[in-house]
Amino acid sequence: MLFTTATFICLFLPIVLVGFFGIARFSHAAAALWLFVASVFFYGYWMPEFTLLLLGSITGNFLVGSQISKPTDTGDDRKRAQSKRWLVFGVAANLVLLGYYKYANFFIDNLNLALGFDWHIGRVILPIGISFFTFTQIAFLADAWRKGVREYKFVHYGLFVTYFPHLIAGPVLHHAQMMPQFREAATYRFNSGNFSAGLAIFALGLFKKIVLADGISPYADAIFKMADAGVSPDFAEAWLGAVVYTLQLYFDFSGYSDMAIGLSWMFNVRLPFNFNSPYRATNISDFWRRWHMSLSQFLRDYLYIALGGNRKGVVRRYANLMVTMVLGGLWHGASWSFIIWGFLHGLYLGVNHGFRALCGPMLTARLDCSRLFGLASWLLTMLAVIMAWVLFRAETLQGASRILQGMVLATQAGPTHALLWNAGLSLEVGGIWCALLGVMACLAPNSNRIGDSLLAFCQTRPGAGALIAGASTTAVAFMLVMNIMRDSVSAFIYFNF
Amino acid sequence: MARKLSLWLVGVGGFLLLLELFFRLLPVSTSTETGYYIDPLILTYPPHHHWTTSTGWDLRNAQRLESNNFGFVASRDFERNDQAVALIGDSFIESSMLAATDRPGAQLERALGSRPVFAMGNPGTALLDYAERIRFAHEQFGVRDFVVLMERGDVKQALCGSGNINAQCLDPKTFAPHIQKIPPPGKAKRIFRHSALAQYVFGQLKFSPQKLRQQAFPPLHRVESEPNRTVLNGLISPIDEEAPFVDVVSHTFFERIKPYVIGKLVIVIDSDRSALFAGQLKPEPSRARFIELARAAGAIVVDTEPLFQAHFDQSPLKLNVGPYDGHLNALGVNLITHAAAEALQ
Repeated sequence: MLFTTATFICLFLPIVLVGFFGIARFSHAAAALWLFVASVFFYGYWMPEFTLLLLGSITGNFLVGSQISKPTDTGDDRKRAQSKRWLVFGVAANLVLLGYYKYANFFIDNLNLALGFDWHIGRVILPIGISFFTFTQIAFLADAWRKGVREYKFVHYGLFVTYFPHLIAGPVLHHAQMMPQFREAATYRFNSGNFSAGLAIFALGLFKKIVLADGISPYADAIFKMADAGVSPDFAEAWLGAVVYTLQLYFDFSGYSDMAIGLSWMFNVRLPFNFNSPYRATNISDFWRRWHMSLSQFLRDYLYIALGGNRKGVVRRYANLMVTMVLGGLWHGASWSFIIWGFLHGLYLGVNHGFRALCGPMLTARLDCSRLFGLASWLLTMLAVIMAWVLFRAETLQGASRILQGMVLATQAGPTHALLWNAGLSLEVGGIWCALLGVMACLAPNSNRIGDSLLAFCQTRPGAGALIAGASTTAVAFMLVMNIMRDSVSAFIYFNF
Repeated sequence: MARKLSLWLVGVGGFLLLLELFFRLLPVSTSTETGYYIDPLILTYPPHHHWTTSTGWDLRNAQRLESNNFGFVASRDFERNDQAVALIGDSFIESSMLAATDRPGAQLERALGSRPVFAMGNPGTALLDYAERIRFAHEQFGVRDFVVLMERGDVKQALCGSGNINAQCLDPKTFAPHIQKIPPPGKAKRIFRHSALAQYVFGQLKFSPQKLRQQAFPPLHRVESEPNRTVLNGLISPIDEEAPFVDVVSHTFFERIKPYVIGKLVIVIDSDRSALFAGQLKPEPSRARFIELARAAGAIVVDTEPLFQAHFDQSPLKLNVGPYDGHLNALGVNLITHAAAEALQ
């Protein structure tokens, strides 16, 4: 079920909200169970055939987690080793499941190509959200082993994994972020301030997705699809396509994250912010602290640090960085373009760290104070990010290569830009879209700040909350009508991952 | 509770007001105010009327339009001139999504050099409505030469109930002539046309409760679309089969215009551009039959099929405005106006 559809907004959400707060008047446990069941229904509505897989994964991880965190005498090495074996088993089982559904075809295809085999396993369908719920649960198992995190209530654990605002495309959650909230009595009491602010942030997310991301997407589609089909774009088209996709992806995914956060506020549950104006980043490390923050933190905490982080010398540090980013790329999808995208970002991070190490702390501090250096490094960061997004968007390496060549080689083009012409689009209008969205992405206050201010405002002034709820309801209804009447309802880009 | 509800309603009203102001700043299509101003059988805009037009929810190809002294979107006012050429057709003539200099009237005038062109396009019309404009052009302006730009569905759309009739049509069963005029707008429409928000919702989004219900809650198993019709970019193109209406409609049309076409009649017939581009053209017997009848009636027929094919053989550029709009783009208009000018000369 998509957040942008009438089925979700007019039926699912009101029923689940009323049911949740209605049941919570009698029993908090029953209300949590209601939300868990509703979340499973939300998942199953789209892909009913994979609901069992989801439930099996939750049950298995809950049981393994219980084994890992069984109370042990800290001095008992044998029990500690046993916990570790459970951890290894649990993580391996999750990775096997993810590997089969996400990477089996890719692995077999490449093996056939490299070794001349002719193996077939059929096309494996990717269950939606598998990357997210698998990572969420791997993090839970790791926390169970490292921190002794323990969950006694299956319903709470199931709700933590399936909670519908984050189930399909994140944010990737930590057990510690959610469980205290499910235990909190205030979560089960309707809070008009949270509801109003949540509705407003949901409306903001809808706007980002329906108006901004979907509005600009025809330009990216026109250029990338044709490049994948074998047609080379000219210089202007290649740049327009790359910049447009850079903006589309941001507004699409951050729009989804805003919707998830807003929806969750309506249920009195706070999800972590996932974006913090990433296109304002002045270096690539800064970019990864601002982009898809929950995944970046996961990769840092459970992969980079687990590999040794920067504790095992300079060479290992750079190697760990590269491995983390390549695997991060592979997490997005089973294709060489994602691997190369991850490799590029690993390279960028390596260069960034290397440059800072070369400059030393004194010079780095001085450079950081320079506005000119800040502008230059912002430009360089954006250039690097935009180039890498070309690999992320193109469906074939050849398509990506055509666009990158178009961006670099500055081929001569006539007055007519054929790819845009054939799509009934104009370079000038595309440029105006880019300028508008670029200004919004780089200069406008981000939705985290807007959300926090709104939340504080609605909670301190209930009257204003009602006013905001009225305006937000109208905004949501208007955008819903707009989305429905356009004939095509587009899914979120990150649903593919 | 009552206070909260009032504030909630204020929020609703305030946001609607904001939307109204916002859409007033954008090129949302404004009211065309069409009516039978110049002739009881010809629908036009009010003379010297100004309005804005754009396509779709994202307001593509926005243009500011102005009607001339006879209520048509043309690059010039009309006056009596027997050297003028009348260019007749539907929205293909008006081409409101193109810049004024790219529209068929302007391009044909440039291609002809010295003769004025009276572009008399009217969206949502078909062949028998064209006949009324040919009559009008001859009677009012003394026009002798005519260029008719025909869309592929124009013959079939001359049957009553096609939704593309402004006045004259034939009964689809008996082929008896009828008049089906566009009723004047109701009170609600007259009020809503002053609101940019309402124009956006009803004009750009084409809001209808029925469509909203169908698309908002689609059936779990979609019903297959009718096998005999394909809908492309809003233009319905029938999968062709020779039909008796072709002869009757054509005969009625040519009989109706016979007294008024003193000079040349050039008929430019559009073709399936998407199929030509893809190299998958299928035979269209009713189109071929109309061409045959037109030639027999003395018209010079410009068949765009070979014209467009020759273009696609040497250029990758498409001739549609876009995937979202099947009208001819500036390049397509250029090809047909040059062919029409050649035929006239």
